[in-house]
Amino acid sequence: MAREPDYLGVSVAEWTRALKSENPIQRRLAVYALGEIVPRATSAVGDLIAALDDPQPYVRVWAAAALARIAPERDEAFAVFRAALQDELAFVRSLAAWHLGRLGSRLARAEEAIDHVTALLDDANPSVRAEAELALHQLSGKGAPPVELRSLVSGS
Amino acid sequence: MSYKPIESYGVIGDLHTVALVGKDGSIDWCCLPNFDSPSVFASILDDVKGGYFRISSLYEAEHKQMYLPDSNVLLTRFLSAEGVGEVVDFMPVQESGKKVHQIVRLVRAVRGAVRFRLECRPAFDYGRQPHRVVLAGRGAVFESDALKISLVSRFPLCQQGDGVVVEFLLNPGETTTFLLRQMEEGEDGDLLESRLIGIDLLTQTLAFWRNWLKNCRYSGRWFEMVHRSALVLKLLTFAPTGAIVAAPTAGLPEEIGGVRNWDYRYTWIRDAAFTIYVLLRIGLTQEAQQFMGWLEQRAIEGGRGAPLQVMYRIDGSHEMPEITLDHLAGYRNSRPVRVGNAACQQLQLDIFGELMDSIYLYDNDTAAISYDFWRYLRRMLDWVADNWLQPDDGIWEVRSGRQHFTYSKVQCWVALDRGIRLAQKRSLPLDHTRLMGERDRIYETIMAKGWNAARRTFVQHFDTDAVDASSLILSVVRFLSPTDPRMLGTLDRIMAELVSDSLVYRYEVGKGAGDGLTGQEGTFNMCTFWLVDALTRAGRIEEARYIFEKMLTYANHLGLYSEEIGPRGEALGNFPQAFTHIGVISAAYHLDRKLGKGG
Repeated sequence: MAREPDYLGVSVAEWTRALKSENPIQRRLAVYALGEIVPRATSAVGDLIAALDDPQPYVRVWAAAALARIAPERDEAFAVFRAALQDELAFVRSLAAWHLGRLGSRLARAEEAIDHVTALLDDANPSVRAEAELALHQLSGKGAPPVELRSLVSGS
Repeated sequence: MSYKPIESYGVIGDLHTVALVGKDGSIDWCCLPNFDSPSVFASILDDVKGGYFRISSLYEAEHKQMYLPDSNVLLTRFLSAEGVGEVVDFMPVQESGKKVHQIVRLVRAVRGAVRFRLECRPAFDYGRQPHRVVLAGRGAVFESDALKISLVSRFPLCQQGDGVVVEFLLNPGETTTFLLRQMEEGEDGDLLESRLIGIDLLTQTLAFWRNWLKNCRYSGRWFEMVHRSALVLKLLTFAPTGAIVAAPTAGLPEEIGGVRNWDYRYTWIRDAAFTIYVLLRIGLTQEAQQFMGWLEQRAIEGGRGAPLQVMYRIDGSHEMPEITLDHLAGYRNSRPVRVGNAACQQLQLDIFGELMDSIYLYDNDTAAISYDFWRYLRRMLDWVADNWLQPDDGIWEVRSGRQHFTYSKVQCWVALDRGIRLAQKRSLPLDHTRLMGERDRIYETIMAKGWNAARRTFVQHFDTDAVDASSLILSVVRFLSPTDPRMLGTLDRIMAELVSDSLVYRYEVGKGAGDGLTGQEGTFNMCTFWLVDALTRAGRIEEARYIFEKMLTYANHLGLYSEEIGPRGEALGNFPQAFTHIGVISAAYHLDRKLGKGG
């Protein structure tokens, strides 16, 4: 019998139950876990779509990221990212930019994402700006050299 | 998890403490906030209860490690068919301001997409103190009664028991940063944004080490090994006082499954002479100055029953009660695991010679000592003149009863000799007649009782015919000419009886004065470098070079040495060990000079 897909030894069913937790940290973990499992258990897609409406914006972003990994063409995930890039909380904006960068050119609407992320280059928060810069590299399909190489070269 | 070879570790640190990072990406030893604090990770001493912080590729991978050039920033690589992953580990050095102790771990996929697994399971106070885990938006906080640490992670952590776990996929070229830091009293759980901080800290840390190494003037043969040894010595330095720990670990065995498992997280006066000597030789004057300041304080404080204690804590305090941690299984079942060190109460007469030798050298090469310091030293010299006839516990800290050790007597001679020379050179007040008389009495006593004419060798102590590798130092401290027949006879006898495949045992267990413990031990790395020194000084250059180069093959993949080497070439004892790295520098320096430019 095929082994039931799990993340860290916890089954899809248990992670799905955790989506109902009152603790947003647990809900975030659950959507992340489902995102890790989803490539092997598409039954969880529906639960991830439902999590796009979570009351916490960062949980929504993680759900969108998980969904975009297996269904990059879905508009619901992209809409969550677009809203998160304009969230009032800097860490949510930064998180959304980071996820978009990670998805990179696999994202169906990568060109559109580049426009939205470019706007964050003028963000008031340095962390958001840095994350946006890196995300743009990745969305454009450019790799970054190892970070220490710059230090080693400039210090020599 | 099983125990990894001792030599499979790299070391990172922040001049207050270190972490040992295995080739598998697991941090298996770290004490916070200082070298001699209780451990937070100690799975090297107990793979179940000790605690660890591992980040490794989930693919079946070959593991490699290297230091980024001229630094103590460690790169651990995971090479597999699916992709190549890397972890950059370092502890930022903060030269001023509030000291925050942290381990930064930059994880990245450099070829292909790589799946990683992070597992962080601290075990506070050598695994004796429970803690609670609080998951937060940016990571987790681990709280024990005495210490609180946080782990910052971009990926959501999952609590499993008293640890946290996460698995994550990095795309080609992608980097993520994990930050483990000690939280200050009253600091809340609001965790820092790790990515920006991590990259900034990497830039600063690389710059720190590379700028520091520029002070090292050595450019002879084997300079990469000398530079690595210098970097290790600096890493073992406690920045607030300048003291250098003998090694940053406790309980790593001198014999697998054996009982010789000591705590080396202290500063031995003995190491001072050798340390000051090599630091000055390669231009690291600032470190020598700071260490000399620390030594001066100890000399002024005095000891119990003698003017100096054998060893001290890194902050200069005197107490280090020895206890055994019986709840720990020990490295590959090597128990007991000891913390603290009872040898601090021993009488080891050699330390006065080593101290005076270092002071003499320092006064000669760097800066003249003060009159007030001299007054303390003069009192110490008087004590040595009155007490050199006492038996003592010797350089190897035997626990089987005191003897008249030849090495201890030689170092008493060194103490008086250097004191007399220093007073003459600087015209400092001293009872020359009395001290010169005692110095000469020591010399004649050693020649009469420490020399075995039948075996043509100096012996370990006055009541044995057994040899001891510490006699190799006799020409180094100028007690004897390197080509004196007695020195050459001793050299030949030691090579015949204590050397195995170029490696040197400190003595033959079961002969002479043992350490009072059961079992065997490995060859002693410092003694091998003393042999190289003695051969070099005796003009036996090719033998010296052969042994030295062979000894280099016993360093680990990063150029690090422990205290001893076992029969299969494995590292034994605490790791990495300062004394051995001092030996590397000293032997390389002298051998290179003898070989000259063309060699």
